[in-house]
Amino acid sequence: MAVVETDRLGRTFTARRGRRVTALEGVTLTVGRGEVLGLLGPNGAGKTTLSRILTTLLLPTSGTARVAGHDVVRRPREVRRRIGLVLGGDRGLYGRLTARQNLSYWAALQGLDARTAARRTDGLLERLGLAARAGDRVETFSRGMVQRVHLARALLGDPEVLIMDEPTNGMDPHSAAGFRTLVRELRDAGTTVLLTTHDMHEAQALCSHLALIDHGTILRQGAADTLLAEVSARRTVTATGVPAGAAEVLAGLPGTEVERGPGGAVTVRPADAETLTRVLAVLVEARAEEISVAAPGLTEVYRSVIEDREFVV
Amino acid sequence: MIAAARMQAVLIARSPDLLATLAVIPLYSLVFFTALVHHHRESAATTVALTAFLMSLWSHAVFVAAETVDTDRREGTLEPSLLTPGRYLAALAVRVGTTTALGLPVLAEVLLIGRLGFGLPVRIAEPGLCLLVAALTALGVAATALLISGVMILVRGARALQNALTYPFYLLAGLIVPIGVLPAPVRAVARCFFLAHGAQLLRDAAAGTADGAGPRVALLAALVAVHLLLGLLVLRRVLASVRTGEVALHA
Amino acid sequence: MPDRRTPAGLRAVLSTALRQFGHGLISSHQDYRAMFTWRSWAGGWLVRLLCQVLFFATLGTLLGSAQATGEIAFGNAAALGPLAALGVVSSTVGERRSGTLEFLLVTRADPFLVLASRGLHWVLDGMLTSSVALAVVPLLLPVPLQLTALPAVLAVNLLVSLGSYCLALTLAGIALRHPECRMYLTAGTTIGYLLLCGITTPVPQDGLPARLAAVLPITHGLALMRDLAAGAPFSYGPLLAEAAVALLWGVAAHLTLGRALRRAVRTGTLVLH
Repeated sequence: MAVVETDRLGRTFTARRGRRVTALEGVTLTVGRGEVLGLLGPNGAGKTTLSRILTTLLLPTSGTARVAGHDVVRRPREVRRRIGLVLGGDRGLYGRLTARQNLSYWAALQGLDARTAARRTDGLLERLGLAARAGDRVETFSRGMVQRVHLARALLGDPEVLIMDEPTNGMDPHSAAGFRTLVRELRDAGTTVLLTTHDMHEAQALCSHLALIDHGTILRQGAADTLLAEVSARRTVTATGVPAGAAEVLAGLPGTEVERGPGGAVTVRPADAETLTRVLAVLVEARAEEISVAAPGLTEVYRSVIEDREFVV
Repeated sequence: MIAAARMQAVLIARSPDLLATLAVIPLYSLVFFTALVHHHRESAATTVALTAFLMSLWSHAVFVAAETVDTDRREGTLEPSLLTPGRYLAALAVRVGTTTALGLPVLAEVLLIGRLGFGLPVRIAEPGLCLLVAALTALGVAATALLISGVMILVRGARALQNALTYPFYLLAGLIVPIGVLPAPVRAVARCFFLAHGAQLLRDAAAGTADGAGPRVALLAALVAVHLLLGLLVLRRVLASVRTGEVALHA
Repeated sequence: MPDRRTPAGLRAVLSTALRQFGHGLISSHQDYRAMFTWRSWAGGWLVRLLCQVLFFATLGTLLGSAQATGEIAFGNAAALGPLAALGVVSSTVGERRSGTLEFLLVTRADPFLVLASRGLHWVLDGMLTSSVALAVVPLLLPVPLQLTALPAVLAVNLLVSLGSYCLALTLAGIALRHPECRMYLTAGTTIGYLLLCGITTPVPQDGLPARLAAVLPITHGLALMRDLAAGAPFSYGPLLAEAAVALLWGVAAHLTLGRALRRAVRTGTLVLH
């Protein structure tokens, strides 16, 4: 059953001098219960506009969107009762209040009665490992802890759908890993998650489904496994201790990209499976060390679908 | 909504800079009292004490309470707040009201400065009426803060005018001398200004000359109610504009 | 770095300093333009300041003295200059908050000089509003000011405003280390000026208030401005006293603000925005 579904959703803005800017156009997607949909795309692609519309914070100019069975335009209150929003970065909480005070305030805004609010707040502080610091001001927290308070706030209303906008932005690797574990637990418990991210590793680690978006339209969407299998991106071969002569042989192979580094390190992207075999043969023959072959990941999927508009030389 | 009031009180108590207007503006009473003593006009002590009180209340509203929405926008707390099921506007009104109410004790503070610091005959003849009028006036000032906070977000460049919202309104409200001395057209505007009514009623209640105060209090309450309604409508419009994309969620 | 001991080297150092100062002034002007348009300045800020002068003048009405009304109006109109100069406290703290202070500190320019030039628009703004007020308020109230004396009054007011600007830079040195105190410092100083310097009330004659008044900007200069406005002949005494006070605060500013900046670089505290 679809928990989030949009039908030809669009949004235009009027910029200066009456110029119309299309932020989103004809977006149709569905997310089933318990799925984690990764929304990938460059800055300005329309990801944030889409999540704003789904969270009822912005009205669409065309098309429809339903979250948990309710129309985001006509039934915003019903939608708001069923969603939680998690934002990345430093903003979004009252730094001068403690974690508990922040949560109590939002619990009141959520319309929870005092007893339920206190019970939920305590429960979430405990569950997200914040209990020991619950009485400290949020401004003294590390980025990872702030993010857990964000998540706790989003979970106060026991949402069916969590919408996360670059939640691990600026977090150190340990905190980010811990945060992802929490998201996996939520997913396993049946929460539907819409995740906007720039981090391909994160998307690969968390998302069951992906939508690649650019210029306001969805360029490709589907199950993560299918997209990875479909991608015709090349494999990447790396090795060290490659003699100069062997490297030149590799560079001479048709359609093969070769990058050379210090200490005889090479990175090779063979055009096809046949060339891959020849590349490996050359490397073994030249007694190269640390030979490894990497299958295309989400980064390759992203790069093959989304055009590079900033670093085109 | 107690949660919103409590949260705002904690927020302000933990931001020493937000209490600066409340801590410093009452000290204008020192200037006023010194001038009175120098000119042997001790009888006007209560009047200028009330002037300092109303100046503090108003400037605290203009510079602190009116910032509530914009601060939420700057700190990124507006988004999650808007996602709550329709209670944000009420919470905002309570928070702005709480912030403004923190200015009420200044009334006692300026009276004490006059009495203990200068030995001046400050007296409140009708404390009950005075408190009622002070509370109503504070509500009106909070309504003004709501209105300003909305306008600052809706109108680009309105922020530059924030500093201009103090002395012109002190004059218009006749905070030192009654509005009778103002030029006729300005006087007509002042008659519709709740602060002018509040200030005069406070002075009369303090002097014990507010006979038949009932209708005047009713008029003040009506003006405050209109102001409050206007403030809430403007803010509702702001929050709606956020949804249509006319106003940015982030400052 | 040119050698300061040779005349050519000294000239080069001075010319660089002057150029940095000039750039600071230009950027300070740009900041001001970002804050106000001509319309919002004239219709908002200027109107507010004129109302401020009139508001305090109504205190004279309450005192039942036309003479007091005029004197208070003159004092408050002249004080717009030195009061505006206090704006540099906020703009310096703003520099820290916006993160630009770090970049100013890593340039080769003298950071004190840079910051001192970055807030000069406040002095110019104060001079402009004060001039308008001194020209307009006498049309509305019985202010003791002979129009022929206006240029001399304004010249003294420039010195007074610069003295106040130096005091404000000293406060900025404190505010840089304790940004949460910014409003207390500026609002407290405003009240101190109004109370001690003869703007709205007479200058205190004895005790600690009198001694404080003597070392504050405005006190000596305003007395001179009042005399000049009333047609009295020019006297050097108060002018020299005001100049000495300005110099004193200039040195204090260099010590506190300069020290705050050096300390900030040493301890890395300015990274906290």
